Amino acid sequence: MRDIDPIRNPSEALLSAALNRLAKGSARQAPASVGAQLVQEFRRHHVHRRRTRKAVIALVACLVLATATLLTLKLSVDDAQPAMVKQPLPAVAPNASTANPSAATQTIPTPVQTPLPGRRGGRPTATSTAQGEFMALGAYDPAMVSGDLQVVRLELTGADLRLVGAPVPEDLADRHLLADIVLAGDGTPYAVRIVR
Amino acid sequence: MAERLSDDQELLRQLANGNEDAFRTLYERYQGRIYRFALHMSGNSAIGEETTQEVFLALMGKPKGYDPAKGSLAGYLFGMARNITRRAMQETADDIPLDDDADWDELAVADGLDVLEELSNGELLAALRQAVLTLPEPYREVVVLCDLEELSYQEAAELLECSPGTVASRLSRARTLLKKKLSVEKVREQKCAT
Repeated sequence: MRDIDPIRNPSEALLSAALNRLAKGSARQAPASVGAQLVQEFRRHHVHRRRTRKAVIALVACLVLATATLLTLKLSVDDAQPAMVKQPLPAVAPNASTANPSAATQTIPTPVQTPLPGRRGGRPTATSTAQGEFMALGAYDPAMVSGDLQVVRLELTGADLRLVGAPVPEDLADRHLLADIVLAGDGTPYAVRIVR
Repeated sequence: MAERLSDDQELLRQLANGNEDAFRTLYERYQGRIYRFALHMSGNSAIGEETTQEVFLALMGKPKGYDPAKGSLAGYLFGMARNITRRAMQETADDIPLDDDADWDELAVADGLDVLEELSNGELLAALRQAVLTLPEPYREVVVLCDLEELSYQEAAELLECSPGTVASRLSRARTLLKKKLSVEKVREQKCAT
């Protein structure tokens, strides 16, 4: 506040005094209700922010987890692939080392080459570029084949494949293998081919 | 002052993290000045409340909007208060039309005329309140900050983002205008009485 000489400048002094009284006569604070509303709003705002932040963190965590899982699966598949390449699968075809020696007897390329009315999603197209040939299983009898055949691609353990008569070496019993299986209309497996 | 600034920044940081006490402290520190500024500028308590509310809502919504390199937190809040008050006055059409200075210059009212002494206390305050509200905005701001809020020229200059010299000259002009307005008011009253 400026210092005003009331003798030299009486009107200025009066004005200052009046302004001073006006300032003192005015409300000094905003009403308490304004502060209370703002505090409520502050709480609401931050509760909302915390919820949003938690949701974002959870979403990011899920994405990271999903990405890590996918990468792990991809790496494990990539690890398994070279091992399978080393296996001379077609050579196993007519041998006696299968779990069911009577099952694996002859090679039948026909299921792949024959158009199959019941095949799904174009997968058999992929089998044409696969590594091995189809191996006939014990249930296959050329004389009895009738109706539609289906080729299904499955991921099974080596042990499971051995159970249906596929020529899978014992050391691959615990490995997950991708195989194309030719099924009869009643679900009987006729032939199998290891893809990966 | 520097301690207050760093304290403000720390409180603002805590506010951004959701600390309610920090918000309360900042609110208690600045709400009075902001409310009074808006009230004196507009003459309307509703605008004073609205301005106070909006300033602090903006602060809690975007605490990082304040840049310490550009000035004090008080200056930042006052800047917001000025804009909000101005907008609210335009919206509600409560703003009293600004008087043209030339009209006042034409009135043959001597600066030293001591008509203020003739006004009673209540009359003087009512007339003064009205006179302040009819001042052009730049003059009203300096009267509110320097005379009613008792800030120094330097502090007012920081808040208004102008030089202390500008504040001083505006204040001098504003006081002259106020005295003239009050004199005219008195003359009108006397005319009405006769």
